[in-house]
Amino acid sequence: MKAPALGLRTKFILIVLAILAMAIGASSLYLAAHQKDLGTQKLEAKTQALGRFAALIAPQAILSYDFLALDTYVREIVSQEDFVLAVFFDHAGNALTERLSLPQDLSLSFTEKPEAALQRLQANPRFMRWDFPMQHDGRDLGQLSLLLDMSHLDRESQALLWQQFRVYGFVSLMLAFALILSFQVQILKPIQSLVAAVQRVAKGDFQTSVHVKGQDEMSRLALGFNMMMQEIATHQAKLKVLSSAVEHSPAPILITNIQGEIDYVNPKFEDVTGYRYDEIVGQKHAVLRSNYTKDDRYDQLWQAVTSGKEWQGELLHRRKNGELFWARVWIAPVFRDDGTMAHLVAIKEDITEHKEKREAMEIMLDEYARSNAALERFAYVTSHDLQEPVRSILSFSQLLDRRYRENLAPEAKDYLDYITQGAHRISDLVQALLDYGHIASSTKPFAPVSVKDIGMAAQAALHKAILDTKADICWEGDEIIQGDKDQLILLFQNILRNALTFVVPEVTPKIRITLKKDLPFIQIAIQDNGIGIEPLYQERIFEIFQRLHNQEVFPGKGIGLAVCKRIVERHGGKIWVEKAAGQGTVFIFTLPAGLNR
Amino acid sequence: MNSAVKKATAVLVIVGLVCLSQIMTSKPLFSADAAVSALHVGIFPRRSAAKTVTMFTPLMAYLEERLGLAVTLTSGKDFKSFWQGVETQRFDLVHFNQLHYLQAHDAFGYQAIGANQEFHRKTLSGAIYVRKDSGIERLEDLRGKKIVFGGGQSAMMSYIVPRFMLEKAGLKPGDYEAAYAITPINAVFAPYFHQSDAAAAGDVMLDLPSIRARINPDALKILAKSEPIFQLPWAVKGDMPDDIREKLLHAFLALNDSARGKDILKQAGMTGFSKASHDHYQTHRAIIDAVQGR
Repeated sequence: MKAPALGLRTKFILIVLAILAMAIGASSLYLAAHQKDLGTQKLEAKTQALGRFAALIAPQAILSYDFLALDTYVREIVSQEDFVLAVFFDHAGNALTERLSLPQDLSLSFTEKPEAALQRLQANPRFMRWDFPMQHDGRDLGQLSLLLDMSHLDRESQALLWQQFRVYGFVSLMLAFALILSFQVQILKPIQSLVAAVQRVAKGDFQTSVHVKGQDEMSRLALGFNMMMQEIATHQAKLKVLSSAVEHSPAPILITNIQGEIDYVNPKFEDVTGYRYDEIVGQKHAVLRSNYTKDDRYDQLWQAVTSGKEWQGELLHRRKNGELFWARVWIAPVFRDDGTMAHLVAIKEDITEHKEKREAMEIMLDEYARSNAALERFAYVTSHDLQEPVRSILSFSQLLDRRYRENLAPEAKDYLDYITQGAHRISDLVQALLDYGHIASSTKPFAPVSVKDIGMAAQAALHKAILDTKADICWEGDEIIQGDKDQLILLFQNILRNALTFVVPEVTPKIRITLKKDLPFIQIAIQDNGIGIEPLYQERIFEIFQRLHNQEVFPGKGIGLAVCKRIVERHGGKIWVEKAAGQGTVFIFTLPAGLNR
Repeated sequence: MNSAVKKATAVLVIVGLVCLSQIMTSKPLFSADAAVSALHVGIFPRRSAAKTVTMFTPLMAYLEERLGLAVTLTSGKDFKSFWQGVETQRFDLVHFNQLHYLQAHDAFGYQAIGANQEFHRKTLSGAIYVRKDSGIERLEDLRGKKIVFGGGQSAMMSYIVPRFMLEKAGLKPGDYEAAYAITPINAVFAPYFHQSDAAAAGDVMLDLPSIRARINPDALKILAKSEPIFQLPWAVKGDMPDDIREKLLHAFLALNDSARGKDILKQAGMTGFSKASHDHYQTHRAIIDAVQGR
C-alpha cells in the first residue's frame, strides 16, 4: 500500500514534534533522575544527621530506662517523611521501642517484632536500612536502626517528571507553534510560491517570476529563481528561434541518438519521406535505406560521424511509399558539455529533381560536346578537304592569269583577279580554321615558361611590323607560367598584332605589358593606345570570323582573338577586354602560374 | 555614674532585699494575726513544673471562685524547693505523695482532707510486672533478678509498696538488683524490652493508653499485687480554720458532680476526688515503716 504523501509543513511539524518530544523526554528523564539523585543525597544527609543525633542522645535515656524518651525520639523520627521504621536495639539486639510508621500496605502488628520487620523489609528494594551505633563511655549500648521508604523519591520523581512533561509540553507546544508559524511565514510560504512558479514553468509559462522580499537565503533563492527564469526565457527565445528554424527548415532534418534511433524529424522531413513524426520517431535511421547503396558507404559514413567528424554525400533513400529519392546529406555529431557524443543531426536535401536536371544537362553537354567535336571535326575535315579544291582554284586561276591574261577582256581580267583574291582568302580562312581547330586538338604537354621570353618571341615574329610602326613596347616584370609555349607565342603575337594594326593614324603605337600574381594564375595585361573597342563589341570580338572593321580599312581574317580565347581557355584561364584609361584597349588574360626556373 | 545615683541604687537594693525577706518569711494565711485573704497551694513535683501549672490552673481558678480567695499555685522546680515551701508552711493546701504527706503531717501538722481518684479508683495497689515468657511465677523467683522500680525510693506505689511486697516475700535489698526508672511507665517497659526481669509500679499500668499504644501489654503479667491503698492525698495546714477547710472540701467534692468539675479534674489528671482523712494513710505508714525498718 502506498504511503500517503506528506506535505512539507506536515513533515516539519512531525520533525519538530519528534525533536521536542525527544528533547522533553530526555531532559525530563535526566532532570527526574537528577532530582531523584538529589533527593537521595538529601535524604541520606538528613538520615545521617537525624540518626547520629538520635544515637547521640539515646544512651542517656537508655541508661535511665527512659523508654518514653526513646519512644519520643522514635516518634519524632518516624514522623519525618520517608522514615517508616525506627528502632533502638540494645547491645544484645533486643528492641527498645516498637513504634512503627509503616505504610498502609505494609501492615505490622506487635506480633511481628521490629527486628523481624526490619529483616523482612530491608530485603525489599523499596526500602533502605541505616544503622547508627550507640555508645556511652566506650560501652556498646546497641544501635539505632532506621528504615526509609525510598518509594517516596520515586513518586516525587514521577510527579516531577509529569510536572516537567506538562510544563515542557506546554512550552514546547508554544515553541512548536512559533516554529511552525515562523516556518510557515519564513520558509514554507516562499517555497510554496516557488513551487507554484515551478508548476507554472512546467506548464510552459517561462515568463513567470516570484516575489522577492528581504535579503535572506529564501529571498536569494527566489532571486536566483527569477534570474534563472530570465536566463531560461532568453535561452527559450533562442531555442524557439532555432526550433522554429528547424521546424520550418526547407530541408528535411532529423536527429538520432548515437545508436541511430530517430529522436526527431521536422515537418519537411515528413513531407519528403512521407513518414509521420509519431511513426518514425524511435525507428532506426536505416528505415530510409534504399538497399541500392552499398554497405561500405554506410560504414564509411558511420565511421566518420562516430569519430566526431562531419560527413556529407549523396544517398539514395526510399520514401514510405517505396519511391526512391536522392538526398544530399550532411551529418554532424552533437556533443555534450563533457565532450561525449549525444546525438547526430542530419540535414537532407532532396536533390532528386536537381540530380535529374543535372544528369539531363550532362547528357546535353555531352551531346553538345559530341556535336561540337563533330562540328569541329567537320570544320577541320571540311577545311582540310577544301584546301585541295581551293588550291586547285588558285593554281588554275594563276595559271589562267599567267597564260591567258593577254587574251582576256578587261572585265575578264578583273573577274580573274576577283577569283584569285577570293581563292587566296578562302585559302587563308581554311588555314585559319585549321589552326583554330588544331589548338583544341593539341596534345603537347604544358611546361614552365617565362612570360617575357614568350613575349620576346612574339615580338621577334612581328619584327617588321614593329619597325614599320615604330611601336614602343614596354615590359614590366616577368613571371613563370605553365603552358604550351608555341600556343602562348601565338597568343601574344595575335594581341600584339592587333595593337600594331588598330592604331590611330599618325600616332605611334605604345604597348605596355604588365604582370600581376593572382594565384594560382598570373594575370597579364597588354595595353595599347589604339583606336579602342566599343563596349558593345567587347564580347563579340572573341567570336570567330567576327570583324568590326572593313577589310579595306583594317585587313584581317577575324579569327585572331578567337584563337587567343581558345588558347587561354585551353590553359584554364580567362580573357577579356577593357577600355584603357585615356585611349586604347587593355587585353587581360590569366594563365596558370608555373614554378620559377 | 555619680555618687547620688549610686546611693539611690543601694537604697533600692536594700529595700528590695528587705521586702523579699519579708515575703519569704511571712506567716501563712492562717496564722493568728494574719488576715484571711489568700490561699497558697503547693503541688509536689510529680511532673514538670510547667506541666503541673498547666494541669492545675483550672482547678486553682475554680477554688478561687468557690472560696472567694486569691489562690496562688506553687510548683517547685524540684522536690527540694517544693519541700522548702512545706517546711516553711507557706502552703495552705498541698498535694503530696503518700510518703511525703506522712512526713509533712508528722513534722508540720498537715492534715489530709481528700485524695486523688485516678483510673476511676479511690485506691491503687502496688504491683510487680514480669514478662509472661520469663518463667517467673513467684516473687521468690526474683532473687538475683533485676527489678526496675518506677520511681525513686520515695515513690509509694513504684518503690515502697513493691519493696514491702518483696520484703514480705523474703527478698531484701541485695537479693535482687534494683534499678530506677524516672516514671512507672518506663519501669513497665523495662521487662518488656528485656532490660530487666521485673518492674515495680502501680497496678493500673497495663490499662494505661500510653502503655497500650507503645507495647503489647499481653506480653506482660502482674506477678504480685499489694492490698489497695488510698491514692495521692490533698492536705491542708493544721491551723486552717474549719470553715475554710470545709468550704475547701466541699469545693473539691463538688467537682465530682458537675461536668465542669469533671473536666477540671480531668485536666488535673484525676477521674475524681475522694474525701479522706489522716486515718486513711495509716496503712501507708505501716508499709513505710516496714520498708524503712522502723
